[in-house]
Amino acid sequence: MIDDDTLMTQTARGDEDAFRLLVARWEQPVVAFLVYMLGSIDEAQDLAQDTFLKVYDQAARYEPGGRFRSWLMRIAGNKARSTLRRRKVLRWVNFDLTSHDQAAPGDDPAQSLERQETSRRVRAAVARLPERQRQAVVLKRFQDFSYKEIAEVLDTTVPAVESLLQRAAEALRHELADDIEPAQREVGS
Amino acid sequence: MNDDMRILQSYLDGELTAEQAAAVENRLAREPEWRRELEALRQLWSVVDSAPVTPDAGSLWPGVSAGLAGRRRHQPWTLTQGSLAAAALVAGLMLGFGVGSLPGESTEVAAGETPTDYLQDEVPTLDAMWLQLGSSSEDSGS
Repeated sequence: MIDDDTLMTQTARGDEDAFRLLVARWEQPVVAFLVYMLGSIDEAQDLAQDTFLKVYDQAARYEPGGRFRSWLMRIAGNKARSTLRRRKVLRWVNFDLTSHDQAAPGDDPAQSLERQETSRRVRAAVARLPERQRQAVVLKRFQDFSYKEIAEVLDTTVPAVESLLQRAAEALRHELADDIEPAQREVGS
Repeated sequence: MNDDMRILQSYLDGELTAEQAAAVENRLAREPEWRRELEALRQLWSVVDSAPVTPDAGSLWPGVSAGLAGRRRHQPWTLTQGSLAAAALVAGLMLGFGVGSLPGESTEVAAGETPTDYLQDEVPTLDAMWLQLGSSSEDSGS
């Protein structure tokens, strides 16, 4: 598989096929990240498109070093932040993705309903996190970024990322107490 | 307690060095409160991880490709290598005929110069990002 840096170098030379490969490789993670940031799939897709156009524009300035995904998510994060500022809603976003919860094969209707309800509560809780905490959580939990990569995306330090995640954990524990309480009770007993 | 949580969180995320992880494990062996805290964090993230967003985005390429084509249409003065070479040839010919630039006037064109209508929010290079990494330590955005 051709690595991202090579594809970016080719893109900078105007190779649209290389750019197309990059888009295909990264569109799903970028859209998922933006859905979490904005709470709307349609808006996330529009902004993901803008993000990739920006990548194309900036390709000549990209300095290869194996850090493409941090660079990409930083562009996507900046675009999400601009959109949120325009909406004047930095603290939280509406989140309606119920229709995207698919029943697992073999789920009985009650299990499926409960799973959907838990997912809805989790997404709502994540959506209510302050913007930077939300970004850190989404990049860590759903994109498997290291703390260093998250620091690059957020233009901050690793200790600041630790702090963001710790505060996010506290907030989520409070918000999702009903969903995690049984397990905690077992450990505590 | 916040520091404890931060350490446990980093331990769970595999972000500690081997030495730091061993120290955490020693403390976990000694302190039930730490074990409870670790398990609570595990449970929390397990619940969160169970609700990923996996939107069926479809392919973005048709839209991206249309965006590229649209911008090419609106950038008639974009300098390609070919047009730069042609411009250089014309300039050379003009100089040859004694038609030069005014004294002190620069005829240089920066490589990679493009119309700026799409470059609204500048993306720093990674080197610039590294330089800034040490300067901010607070969650200023929240």
